Amino acid sequence: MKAHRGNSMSKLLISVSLLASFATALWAGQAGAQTADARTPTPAANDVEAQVAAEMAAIQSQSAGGGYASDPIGHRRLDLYGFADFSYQRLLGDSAAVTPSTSTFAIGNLNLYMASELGDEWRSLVEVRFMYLPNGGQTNPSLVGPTTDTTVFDNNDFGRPVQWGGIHIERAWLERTFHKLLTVRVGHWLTPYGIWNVDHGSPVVIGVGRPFIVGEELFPASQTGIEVYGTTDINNLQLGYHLTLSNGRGPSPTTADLDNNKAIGGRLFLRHESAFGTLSVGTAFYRGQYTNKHVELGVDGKGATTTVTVTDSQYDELSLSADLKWQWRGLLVQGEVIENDVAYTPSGRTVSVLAGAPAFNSDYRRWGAYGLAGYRFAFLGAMPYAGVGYYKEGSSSWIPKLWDFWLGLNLRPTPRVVLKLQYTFVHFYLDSPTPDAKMLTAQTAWSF
Amino acid sequence: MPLLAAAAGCTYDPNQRCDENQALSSDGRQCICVPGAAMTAHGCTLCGANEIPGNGICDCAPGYSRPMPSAACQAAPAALGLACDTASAPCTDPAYTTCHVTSGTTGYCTSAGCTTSSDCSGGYACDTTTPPTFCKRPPVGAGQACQSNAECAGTEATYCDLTVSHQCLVQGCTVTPDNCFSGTVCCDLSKFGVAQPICVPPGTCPI
Repeated sequence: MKAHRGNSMSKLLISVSLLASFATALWAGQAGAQTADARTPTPAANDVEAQVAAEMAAIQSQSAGGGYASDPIGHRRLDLYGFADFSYQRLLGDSAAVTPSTSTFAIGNLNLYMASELGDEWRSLVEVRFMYLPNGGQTNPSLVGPTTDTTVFDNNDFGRPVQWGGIHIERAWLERTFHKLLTVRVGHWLTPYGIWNVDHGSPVVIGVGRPFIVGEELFPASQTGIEVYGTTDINNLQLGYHLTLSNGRGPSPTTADLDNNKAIGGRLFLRHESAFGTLSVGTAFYRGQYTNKHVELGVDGKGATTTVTVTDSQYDELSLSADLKWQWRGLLVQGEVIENDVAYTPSGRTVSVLAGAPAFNSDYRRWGAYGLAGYRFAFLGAMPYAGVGYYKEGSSSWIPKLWDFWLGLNLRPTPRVVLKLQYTFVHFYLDSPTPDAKMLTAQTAWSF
Repeated sequence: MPLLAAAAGCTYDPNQRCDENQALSSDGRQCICVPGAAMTAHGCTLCGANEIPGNGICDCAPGYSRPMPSAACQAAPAALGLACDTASAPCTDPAYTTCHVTSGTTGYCTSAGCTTSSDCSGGYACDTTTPPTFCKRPPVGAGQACQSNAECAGTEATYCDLTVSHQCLVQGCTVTPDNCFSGTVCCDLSKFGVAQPICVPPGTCPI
């Protein structure tokens, strides 16, 4: 019998610590609010600017204006901003068939941010992505089978067909800053790890998309729960931390935790500025349990109707990452390494979908890394760039591993508009020989 | 320190990627049941004496049968349960001369004229519901793990219980007289939406 591995005591300690921090912070906040209310309201603090900028670096840091109008007492009511991207992609030569396999124009992202400064260091941010999906999307993860058709006939337009789309809530949180070392955020937030998970807007990403491993969710992209973070400065060195407590992953993690095992995580980073530019390094971890279960109606031994809880899938996971970013004049060098370990519980191991005799998915480790280098010239804000990535998927995947290489040009003619052209080469390691994928992608991304 | 402690705790053991009664496949990507173990919903169950791995359950090895669905497999006389055909392949063993028809003219060899199940061997039970009485074999497929009726098709237990046991159960029984196999009772669950009465373990029928 395999021992079920875990570190419940440590997780309990962290959970208690986080909750205590949150409770203390709320208490302190209440006290602080009472004090602040007795004062004349102050103008919006610079920290607020910094926070908003951190949330949407592409929009804020590159914006010439960059400011928002404040009301007479300095409290922002509601700031609306966002980003979008439009792409053209085509496969080259005898490329492997990747989706889409035909040359295609597409709107990829249309994200809207709704930020509000609520006064006395309280802030809120909601980000939604407007999608044409589910129309045209597939529900089968192997991307086979018919696509979803959302066509309905509009009663108000002579029954003419219209295809409806959806909304993906990327994040929705409320936070309060008590000290530079302590901000408490509650709600649905992006997991603080790496470079491009939180700053994920198309205009800020150098390539036509984030590196493959970032999108593979070796860490959950977002979580629902409590996040505590802060920074401190020591001369030219900034140190920062994040601690998180959340529902962890699950079939519906934003609304329900199907186990009593809260996920914990954290990130430490430092940023150093010198004559040799800005160097940032960070590391993060995440530990949680995924549970998918459902309840069925049954009959007990005494003939009474009862309910039975059936576990469909359950596993423990640990994710680790490290990232580095160096900016010196126009030069940008960055990279990330991310790992994710998965171990099924005895009652939660799932049946493998791989071909062959019936079998179960094994515990697995997946990891990947990428490196990117580019140089931004003043002329048109042009940045030629190149990158390489490697990804070793878990054993239960159809694609055991792959590596890719990309080469492109990123133009920023204005702070809010980015034009990109990229060649991507992907080599797959499959059970059967498979052609490499070769793609040419052009994209324009803009913030508004 | 708690953070470091939590992060340092191992979740994944590369030398132990499967559970009990499982082994890593040759390509190192899947967990398969060890020889002699049956694959169930989430794990592998090691089969006992006189059992062989079946579809989600340990079946009796050839020549063995269970007196009741949960009982151990017992040796059955060689001629007992042999396939027969009243038109072309009669039962020739003098101890089991009755060809009990299950479909058309085909069936299995057994004995007739029993009074109680103690008159039967090999896990068979005396069926006294219709004359002449005979030693009835355990229903084929009963107790087999399932996720849908399709997995029970072709057996004598064609109803997949998706609420409690996730096993194939015999359906179409009569409550009076109760013609379920020994160790089960006929239960009418029509008010729960189950179309036909099913054979369930004693004490589990709510009606």
